[in-house]
Amino acid sequence: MAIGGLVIGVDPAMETTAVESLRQVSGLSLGVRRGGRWSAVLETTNAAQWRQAEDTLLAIPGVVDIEVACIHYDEDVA
Amino acid sequence: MRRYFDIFFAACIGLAFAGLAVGLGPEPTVRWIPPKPLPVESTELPQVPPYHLVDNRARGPNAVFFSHLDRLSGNGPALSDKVVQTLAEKQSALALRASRRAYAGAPPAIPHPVDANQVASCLLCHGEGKRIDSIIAPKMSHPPFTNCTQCHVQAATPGLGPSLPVENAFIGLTSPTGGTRAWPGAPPTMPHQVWMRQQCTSCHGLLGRPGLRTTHPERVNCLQCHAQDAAADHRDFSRELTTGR
Amino acid sequence: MSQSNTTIQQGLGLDRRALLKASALAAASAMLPSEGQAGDPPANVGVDGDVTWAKAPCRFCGTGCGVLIGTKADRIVAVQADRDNDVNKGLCCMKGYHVGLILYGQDRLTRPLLRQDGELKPISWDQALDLIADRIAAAPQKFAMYGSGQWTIPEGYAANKFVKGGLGHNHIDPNARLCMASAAAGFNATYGVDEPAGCYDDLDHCTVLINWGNNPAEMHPVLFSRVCDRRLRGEKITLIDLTTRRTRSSEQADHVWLFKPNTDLAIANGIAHVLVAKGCLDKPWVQKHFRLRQRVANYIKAGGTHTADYDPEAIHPKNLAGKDISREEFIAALADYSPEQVEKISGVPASGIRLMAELMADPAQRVLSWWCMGFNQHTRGTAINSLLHSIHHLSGQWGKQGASAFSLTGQPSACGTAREVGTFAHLLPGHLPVLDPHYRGLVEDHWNLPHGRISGKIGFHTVKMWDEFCTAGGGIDTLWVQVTNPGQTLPNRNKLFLAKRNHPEKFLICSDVYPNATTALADLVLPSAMYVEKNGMYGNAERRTQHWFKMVKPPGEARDDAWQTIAVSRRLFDRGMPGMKDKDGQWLFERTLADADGSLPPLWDWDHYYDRNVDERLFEEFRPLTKVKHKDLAPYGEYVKAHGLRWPVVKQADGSWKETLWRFVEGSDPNVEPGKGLQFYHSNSKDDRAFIWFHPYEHAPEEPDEAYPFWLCTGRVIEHWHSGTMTMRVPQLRRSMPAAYIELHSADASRLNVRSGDPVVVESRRGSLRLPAWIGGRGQPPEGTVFVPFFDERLLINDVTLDAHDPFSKQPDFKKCAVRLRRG
Repeated sequence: MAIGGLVIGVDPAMETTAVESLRQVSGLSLGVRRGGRWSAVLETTNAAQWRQAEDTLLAIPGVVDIEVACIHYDEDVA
Repeated sequence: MRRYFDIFFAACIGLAFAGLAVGLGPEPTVRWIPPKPLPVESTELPQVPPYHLVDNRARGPNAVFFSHLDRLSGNGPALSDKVVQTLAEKQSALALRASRRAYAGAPPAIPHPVDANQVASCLLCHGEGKRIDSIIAPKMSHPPFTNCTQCHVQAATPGLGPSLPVENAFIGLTSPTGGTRAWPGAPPTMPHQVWMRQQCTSCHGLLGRPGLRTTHPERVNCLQCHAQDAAADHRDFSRELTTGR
Repeated sequence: MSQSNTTIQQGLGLDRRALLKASALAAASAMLPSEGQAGDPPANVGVDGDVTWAKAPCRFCGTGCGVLIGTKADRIVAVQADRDNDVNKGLCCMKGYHVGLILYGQDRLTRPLLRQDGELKPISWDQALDLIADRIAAAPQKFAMYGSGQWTIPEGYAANKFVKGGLGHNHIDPNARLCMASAAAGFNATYGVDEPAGCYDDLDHCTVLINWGNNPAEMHPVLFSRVCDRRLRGEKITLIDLTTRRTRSSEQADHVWLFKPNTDLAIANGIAHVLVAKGCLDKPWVQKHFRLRQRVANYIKAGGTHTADYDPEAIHPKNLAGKDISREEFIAALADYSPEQVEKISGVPASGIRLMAELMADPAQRVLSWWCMGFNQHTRGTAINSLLHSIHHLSGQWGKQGASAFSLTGQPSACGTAREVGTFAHLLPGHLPVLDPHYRGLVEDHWNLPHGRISGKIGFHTVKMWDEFCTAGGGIDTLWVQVTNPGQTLPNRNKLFLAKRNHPEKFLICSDVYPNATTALADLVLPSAMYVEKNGMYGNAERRTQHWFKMVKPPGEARDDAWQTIAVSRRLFDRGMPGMKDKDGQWLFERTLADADGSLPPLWDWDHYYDRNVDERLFEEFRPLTKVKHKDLAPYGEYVKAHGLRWPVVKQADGSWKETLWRFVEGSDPNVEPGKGLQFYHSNSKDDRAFIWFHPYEHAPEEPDEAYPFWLCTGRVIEHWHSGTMTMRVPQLRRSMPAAYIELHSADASRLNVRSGDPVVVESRRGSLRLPAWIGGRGQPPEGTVFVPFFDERLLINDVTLDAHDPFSKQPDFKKCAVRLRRG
């Protein structure tokens, strides 16, 4: 199990579509928006999936950058 | 079977709480809560749940925190890296500086939450300076003092407010954009005062923002080549400080 | 939704995964850019280029830091800390660095406003001055002025002369009455003369520093870091924090001892108890320079607790200096204050009392005690101030570099204008008591007034003045407020301020720079020039007088407070009012303001006010009066050159002017006769001795009980100064501390079922207030105590506080009362 907090930077011009896409990402929950950036929680079952998920997020049009605030990783729990 | 049930049950509760934390409840068919419609700027940040809300279930194995270690380690700039300064980088670095100060020379506001009572917590990052990916915690530009929050205001204190809605029409002095050079290629003079900026590497060292960073971090005696400005330092004794108008 | 709510409400708790998610979201959200910061463009376009720099003291607290103000095109554009000023040596606090912004709040008052049909409407200055003159001429004895420790020295002097010399009564009092009147009374009771003997240099030499109920890390940060920064240089300083709640200052301390409110007298007595047991009374130093003293009689009639129960005979001003007590009586009186006994009363461990006494008795140590509003806003404020001086006398921790008992002040010129200029209802310029006919004659001669002009009757002190003003048929019907905001800062506001609403016949005049709680009820509002929009001088807590010149023009029709006073005086003179004439029939300010050849430019006309330096002329007239009580000030020109000078400033053989660091100490104070070592030349007992006092610990007038089980403590935060009129208009300070809150202990919060941010109603027998809770915030009160800052004009805690006051200083106790709490 990997649970982490993210800050997602979004291009203001594409924010609506970008956020729509983010909502579709499995395991991602958007939090609040401030100063043009979003907080979010991401949960995946293991580290490999986490990295995959990050790549998925970065590939979304309009997502500019991702800051990782924290990750809790628990090897023994799925 | 029991284990799956536990996980399912936990997920339900977790889902519900996360919903509560952002102020919206979950819909039964959606795995995660729907976000607020755009664009909504939030003034209320979610709070960390207090420990007494956690049940007494046995904890799992030791938590392991990690981040992008591959991106973090060894990727800082090295002394030997070639630094190319662009005007755009410099302007954006100066603009970022300006956004955190009332005027050039004002102590910058703290752009993140702090433990205002513990000086050690400031020094952890700002004592020697730290860089994590694109986030730079500059080394203090001045000699250490014992009471950081004496001078540095928090840019915002979450949870308190709203405040008096009075606008202020103050217009502050802008940062100088550069010193003067006697000829192209000559070392520029210092455009600002040295007081409270004795530590040149804070802005101009390896961890300085692109645009402000020196091209020659291997040289350590800055004042050897870069001349101070006596007027900016108030050390131009021919000028009478005390007379106003 | 319903499931999650039920789950949490039933207290079943969160599972680990949900906790992790909520925590992760909170952590990520905390990293989001703050509002209006990081990434957003700067709010204002800046200015470049050549800046003119000039020195001034900071506008805010009593520390008196030096700042350099940078101006360009008639506007302030930057501020720097003055490295040449010995107070702060190039460092300020966040308020000082943003002091330039206080001029530019967009709701500055720029025109005189008169209340017509309930609304403030613009009128001309001419009309405004006529209105004031009409009100005064109709009943000069029912007119009063309420000023402040933020008046510049010349402003306060002009107002003082106008009322006491012109109107012939003493109804003028500064807000300093609410701030350091107890400190002044403590100095007078102990030394026979006001103001501290030590100075800030002691901060560079002390080896032990004791905070007595103050939080210098927030309230006097520049002075506090001056001590703490010595530790970075490898010096060892023992820092002891005696406090009623943990604060930022506690974090730096070696020992933090929480004490129960009002028990500070017991703690001081406990230290005296140990010192006496160690034989301190037998030291030649004590025997030679000090007398043992106690109060004349119990202040309170048997069975009483409150101000109303004071025995008028016992608290008569003539009893301020008390009476002698024998050595045996003194020891017997202290017998009840063994460290163990004091631990029971105060909560400070007996070992702590012993440690403080040991440190004080150790000649190798230099012990510095300091305090501020905790001692002064106290129903035994005069007593606890006197006791602190006393334990330093008893231990010998006095009159040496670094060994001192220092009273901090809250306003930039509480010392300069309230105390030295004597704008109190019982004083004349130079801190001369009006009760003394000799001093009245001396000032009358100095002002060229007929004898008998100055009244020998003490005027109304602050609380009395507002009570008279807010009562039908009371002694005051026109009140002129300058440079302060009583609508927010008076205690028991309903009775002492808001009641004015019921008396349309009363007339409130308010000179101010922004709309505030006072202008909200004022009948006439006058727009004032502020800070460096005018010339000025301030006197700080260490007797340092500082000077600045006008640097920018005031906005619109805003004008200097001193000009306002002078212009009204001139108008009354032109109308033939006898009080505005001296004994030769000339105008009250004629000799003050005239040129050397006797000609008088029309300085009462605003267009000509700056034709001469009016400040200099007022100051030079004031200056000779400072010599009477040995508070000698130097000529105006010396302050123009210097970055502040500490009085007495005495002319040397070579023509230079020398300041004094330690008063009453041979080698430093030029008034001490050679060979005396110490000489208290204003001694109440006329034998060059100061006093060592005994005062008993007594209960506070109101303590928690079953109905009101919590202590309420009020105070300040670093971002805001006083009622926030200025600092709440500085975006940087306001963002950092946007609103008032109530601090409470987590156990109390848990019992009330409140978390940070939840509303709490705090209620006393006088009023109530609803505030957001802050748990584990900046300060941490112990269980049973709550704390509320007083700066927020929308959340006025003074509707809740008590108006009981000290018997001598008349200063109210804003600091403690009993309240109850509920979730709001």
